[in-house]
Amino acid sequence: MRPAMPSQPTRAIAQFCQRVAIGAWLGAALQAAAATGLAAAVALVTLRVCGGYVAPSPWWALGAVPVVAYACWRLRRERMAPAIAAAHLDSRLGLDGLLLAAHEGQELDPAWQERLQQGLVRLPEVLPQPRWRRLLPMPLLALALASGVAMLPAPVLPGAVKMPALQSDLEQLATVMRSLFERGAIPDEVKQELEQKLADMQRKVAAGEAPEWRDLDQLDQRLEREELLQAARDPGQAPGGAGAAIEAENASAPTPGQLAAAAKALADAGLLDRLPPNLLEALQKAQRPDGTFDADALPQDLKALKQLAEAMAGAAGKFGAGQLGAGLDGKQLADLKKVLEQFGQQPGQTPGQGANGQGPGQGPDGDGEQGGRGGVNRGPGHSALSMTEDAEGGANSALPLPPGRALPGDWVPLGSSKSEPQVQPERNRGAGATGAAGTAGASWQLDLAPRHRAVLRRFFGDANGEPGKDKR
Amino acid sequence: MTTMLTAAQVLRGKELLDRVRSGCNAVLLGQQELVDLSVIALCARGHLLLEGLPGLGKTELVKALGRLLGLSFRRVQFTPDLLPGDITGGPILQERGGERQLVFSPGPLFANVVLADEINRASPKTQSALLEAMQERNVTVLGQTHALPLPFFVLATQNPIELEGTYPLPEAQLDRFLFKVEVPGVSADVMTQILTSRRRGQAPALEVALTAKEIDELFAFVDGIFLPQAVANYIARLVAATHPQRSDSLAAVQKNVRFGASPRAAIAIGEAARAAALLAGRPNVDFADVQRVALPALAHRVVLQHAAVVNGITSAKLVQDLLETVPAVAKALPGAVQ
Repeated sequence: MRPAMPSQPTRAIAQFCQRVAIGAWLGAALQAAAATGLAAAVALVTLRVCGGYVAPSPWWALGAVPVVAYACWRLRRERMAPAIAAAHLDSRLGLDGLLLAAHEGQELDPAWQERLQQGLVRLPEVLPQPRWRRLLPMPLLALALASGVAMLPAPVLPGAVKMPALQSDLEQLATVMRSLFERGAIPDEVKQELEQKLADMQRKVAAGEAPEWRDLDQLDQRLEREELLQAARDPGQAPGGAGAAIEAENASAPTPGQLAAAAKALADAGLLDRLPPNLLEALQKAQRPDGTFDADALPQDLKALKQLAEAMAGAAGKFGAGQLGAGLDGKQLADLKKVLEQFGQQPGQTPGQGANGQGPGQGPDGDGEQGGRGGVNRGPGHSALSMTEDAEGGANSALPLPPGRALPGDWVPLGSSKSEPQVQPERNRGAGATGAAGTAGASWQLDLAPRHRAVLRRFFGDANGEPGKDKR
Repeated sequence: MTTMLTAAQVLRGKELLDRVRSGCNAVLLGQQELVDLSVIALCARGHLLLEGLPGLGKTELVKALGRLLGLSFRRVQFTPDLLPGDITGGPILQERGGERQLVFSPGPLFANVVLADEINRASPKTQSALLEAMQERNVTVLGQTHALPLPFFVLATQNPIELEGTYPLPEAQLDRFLFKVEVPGVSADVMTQILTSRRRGQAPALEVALTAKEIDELFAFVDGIFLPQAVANYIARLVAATHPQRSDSLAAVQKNVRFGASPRAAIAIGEAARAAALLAGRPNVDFADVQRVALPALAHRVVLQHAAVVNGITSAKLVQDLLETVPAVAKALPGAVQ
């Protein structure tokens, strides 16, 4: 579209200046683009010759920054003063200096004014135009060259076929992922994300690039997490472990009604005062005037109920057979036993507890009728390590580093946040899980990162690097 | 805001100039450019040095100019024995009422138009007598200064081939001349025209083209021509480019020029360009006017190295090179646009 004819010489001169500025900017930008493209092409070719390769990346768009910066710098340098522009425009319009005189404030005779206006009618024809034929070839050639070099397929590196450990691990991950998907109950977006991650790593391995071991570890851990989540969503689909464990755990939890009945039995036996004061207080709050306990007034959360049940079991554990006659009839004793059995903490019958206990271990490494653990009750395998009140940190909380202490170099930061970190400790599955079915590999396997496993496998495996007897 | 000449004023000025031009062209056939430059020099109130072979009509042109302008005209034939007093005039002893006193008797310089024919034949002493007259427009004799009549023009001629018994004009003297114009030869057609239209080469009788009032009017018009800043800048850059000391001068200038043109040259070009603009019918000076008058105004002001003279390099050629290389506008358009 052609610009409208300005009625005043000043506007015409301004328009001329603007065109010159645009042309100068364009010229400089194209010049810089040519140089950048050429440099990029040379760099890429050199890299290829030296055996390197850089995959195209969106970051390459940053190459436009120096181009724009150079163009702006040139524009600033070549900005044309209005007096100079007036001289150029006057020559182009053939006004013989009339425009110069008008620009310098000379009052023109009407006849000269008319001649000036007649000349300015031709302004659109004489405005500077970019010399496209001169400007475009070099930048286009350079950019095409750079694009062509960048689009060349990635070179197949000699080491690409010599990464059996990586390929093996990826295949294992793919197998695990397939089995996870086959069991269902995985959200589509999660499925796509996992598939995408695996595909990316497979593509890198195929291109001869070694993916970060950290990525493999993360994917592996992610798959394990998804397995647990899958088990939580659909316990029946859990692979012989997580779902059953959760179900068993829920089944072992006492209900408030049962606890109320047990508490009544303990109260009748006169054993309530053996409870810790805080629990005793909680029970007394729930006790009705008639001596029974209101189940709804008891603590409703699972943890508190367990704590109460354990305390009650402890109180009952001190209750010997010879004391049966102390106010407990047969029914009350049966209720109390039921509650304690439900919780799985009956003294003398808990696996891994008591002298030479006969606990039925069910984990992958458990052999069923193995011996107990020397009578030391460590509780269930997934229980948090209990610490004293003044101990800092714990299994369920973050342990901050001392002030000024740098992060050890071999640590891998998972992320940083100003808020309190959400810690989700993973339960220890397998052989040590007392009273619960094992879910997967033994605890030593869970704590070993895949990259470490690969090292161990190579070290202990056969000469060809074939995996040993690892189950995964 | 100042007012430029109106179109009517420019037209009037051009008409007055055309009268002088046509008169000169009637006398000097086939020498339009020479006539134009002569008229421009007169309008700019500058002195003119004509250089050319004998018989080309230099003297006829000057005589015609004097006649057409209706001004007092004197001719001085310069010879080696000419003394300064012969042209400036001097005191003579006169007896009045029984008393004798020295009375100043004006020489031939006391005229509006002075033809200094073959000026390079006079001794430097006599040539120097012209310096004050040409620059100051007055003459000092015995401590007494006498003003010359205005307008005052010196139109000098010189013969470039006869070097024996001549005294080349010193640079200071040359600098006083607004233009030094090389009188070119004429073509066969022009000579045929001269032969057929002139008996014994007699030029046609001329009538006075301009009255004194019209001459004043003409000078006022020339003074009213506007010189834009950009054009003045061009003149300054042209003159500066003749200086070999400047780092941005042409290599040819740095090698061959001994002294560049003086600021007087820039003033001369500016004034001549105004007259040229009026002659072209413009109310303001344009770059083309500067380019038209730059060569005759600059060539005689550029002093060449001896080696350059020996090598046949002329200052006119150097100035021509400068006109082709120095851009009219101070800053060129970026190369990206056309």
